[in-house]
Amino acid sequence: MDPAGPGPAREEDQLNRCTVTSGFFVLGHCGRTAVAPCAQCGRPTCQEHYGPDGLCAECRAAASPTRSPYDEQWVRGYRRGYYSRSSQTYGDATWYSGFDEYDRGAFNPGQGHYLGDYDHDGDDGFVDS
Amino acid sequence: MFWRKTKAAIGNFHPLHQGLIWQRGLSAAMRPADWAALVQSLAGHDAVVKRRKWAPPHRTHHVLVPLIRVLSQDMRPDGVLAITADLRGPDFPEKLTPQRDLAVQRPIRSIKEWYSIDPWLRIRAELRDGSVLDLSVTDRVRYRKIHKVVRGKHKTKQKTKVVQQVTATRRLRRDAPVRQPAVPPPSWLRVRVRNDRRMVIRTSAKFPKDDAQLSERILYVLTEAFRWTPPGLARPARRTS
Repeated sequence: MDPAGPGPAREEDQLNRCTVTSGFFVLGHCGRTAVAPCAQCGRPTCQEHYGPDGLCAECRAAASPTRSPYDEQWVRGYRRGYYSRSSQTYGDATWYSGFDEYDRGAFNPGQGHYLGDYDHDGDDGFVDS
Repeated sequence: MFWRKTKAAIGNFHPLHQGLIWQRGLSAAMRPADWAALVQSLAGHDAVVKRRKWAPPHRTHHVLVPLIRVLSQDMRPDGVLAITADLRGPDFPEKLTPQRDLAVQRPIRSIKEWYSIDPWLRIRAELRDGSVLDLSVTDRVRYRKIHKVVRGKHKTKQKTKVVQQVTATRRLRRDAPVRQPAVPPPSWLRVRVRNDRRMVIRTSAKFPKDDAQLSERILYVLTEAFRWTPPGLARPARRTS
């Protein structure tokens, strides 16, 4: 059986995974191996999303929002505001609350949704012995 | 900076960046990392080139770059994002329809009407949940040239009216879990859903011209296609290669 399949992963495995929210419409959690917890929110964070200031990418984007789409961090700051505005445009409160719930769900171990957005080779490093 | 040095600096830009400057458009299918390289090249434009004559079209900044950033977020690193952008504007012979005369009353002598149909943006993105997103933005410009005679003087004026049509189609993968949104979409948004082997959600809307707001309006049109698959329902797509 492929341990990286779409079925629920083991809880101890998920505890060591980066739970930074990724995607814009198709939300997921990063899923790379975590190296340290974020100094502000405490979520496990991988090397890619862990900054020199000790913050995860989400907290860094919230601390220093940028208005320029040329900045790589722009999407993270823009996403939450967009969900809020589009929720009002659609008159659909569940659209924003669904996103918010999902984003905060990253702090609940065992509830991660990993969509494989990181560049893995399909088997998560497992080899047949 | 003198022209010779500016030309040399432009020659060092990303090839698609150069295409935006000289041809006012681009057409490419690349992976998100390759599009990020283009965005990075565009980010350094103003530091090197000062003259507005050689600036990329303003829709690059208002529409193209934000959409590349947003859609790249929803793609796997090996997914393909195809973009065809014709940013030359609507006034080209191949985009114009034939003129026709409208019925008039005195003192108006004639009204000639014609349109420009400018499908200036087409995007196709393979998303990481296995769905495929198609987006098109078309400017429809109505021109009216009015000729009238008032107290023996011949007067002409030309009016234009621009409508931006945004159409998005999302083809879900075959076994994708779907939940119909509890709240209907806003009245200005048209939604059609076809549930065959793969569910297809098509949304479209018309807006008055406002390029500064357009990227957000495009995202509003896209949003409906994603309300059918709320966060947490999606599962990773199986790799086919």
